Amino acid sequence: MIAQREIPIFRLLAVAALSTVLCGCVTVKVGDHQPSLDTVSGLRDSGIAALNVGDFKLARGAKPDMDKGVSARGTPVDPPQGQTFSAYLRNALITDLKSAGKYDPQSPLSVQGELTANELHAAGISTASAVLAARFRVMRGDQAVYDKVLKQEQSWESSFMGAVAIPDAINHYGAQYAALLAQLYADTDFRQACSPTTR
Amino acid sequence: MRNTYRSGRTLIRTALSLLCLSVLTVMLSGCVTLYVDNGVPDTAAADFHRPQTPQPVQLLFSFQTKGVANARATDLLKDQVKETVMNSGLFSAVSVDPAAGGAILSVTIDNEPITSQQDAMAKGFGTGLTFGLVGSQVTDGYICTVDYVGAPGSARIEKVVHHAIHATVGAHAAPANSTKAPDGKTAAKTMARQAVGAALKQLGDDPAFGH
Repeated sequence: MIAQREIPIFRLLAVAALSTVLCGCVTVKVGDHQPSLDTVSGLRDSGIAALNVGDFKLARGAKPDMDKGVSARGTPVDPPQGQTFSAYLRNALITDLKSAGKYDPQSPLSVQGELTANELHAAGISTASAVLAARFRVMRGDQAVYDKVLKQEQSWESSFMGAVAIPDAINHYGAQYAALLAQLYADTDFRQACSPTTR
Repeated sequence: MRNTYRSGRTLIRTALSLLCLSVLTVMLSGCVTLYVDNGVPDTAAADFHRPQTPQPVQLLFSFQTKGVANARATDLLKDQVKETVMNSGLFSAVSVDPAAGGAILSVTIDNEPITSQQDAMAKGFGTGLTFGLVGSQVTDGYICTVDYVGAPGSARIEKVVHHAIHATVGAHAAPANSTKAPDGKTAAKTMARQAVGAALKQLGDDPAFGH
């Protein structure tokens, strides 16, 4: 109690500032991807063949840091368990396919990916945004039967308060992976390329 | 010698300041008390209307914050949700993998603040200025949506339950019709257990659900 009385107001403000700075030092890892009902039932009922998932890596020429982490107002946001973001995208795809009963490591059809864009902009006091893009290829043996770059962009209302804006940015950023993959699953060219009857 | 004395005093003063700051930070963070609304009580095992032959189901769970997937909160609550689904007895087995027969149960809990962000900030600011002497209360709403698809291509059955967690800051009376939670984790798990249980009760009572 005595200690409290001795603390002048500016020091209290310093506490608040310090707490904010300390909170900002924590590295946050993106949580595990969760398949949605729409994704699972959509993939299951799509009629595509079961797929293997091959290599996912950073696109040639892209900055290596892009695959390792992004930042929300100074808070580092990393992929889980020392992965890269391209590996995170690969694992999200496998999770979706497994949940829909469409994952087969022995399948002649294999999906490959290259991360071409990965951005999180959370510094704005009124809006924030994220961009995620990847080149997806479906290989049947040595032949590419699907080859497209898909891009997912989103902006959302942000807050000047970091305690609100940072978690919100992390949630929106993580959701971009599901949204990018949803674009892939909905692409009629992808579905056609993955058709069991396509030769 | 004098410099050593001065630097020693500075060090002690800095250490005391940091200690005070730590104590204050802990005290301030300890001022928040959470209460789970009593509007959605636990559903007793005997109250579930179980099908004659329960089928296995694939469970999908997502926690959302204002409609956006919150992966870290999902990780925190997924075991609680799975346990609640298993304990309901509506299904013979619960797994994240596709189930024989193709039944899918999707559980989504969406956190929609009932007290607006501006209002919550204003209240919190007011409480902070008075060092907690003037308390405040904010409420977070949770919309639990349970979707069930019995087999590929079959119609979706949807049940929705609304729940709430109240938070008081500083000197504020406990909200009416609510139960104090020892910590945030317990409050969240209690809310999830009660909301999912209530939605599953509605699902079991639906004639379209496997009876």
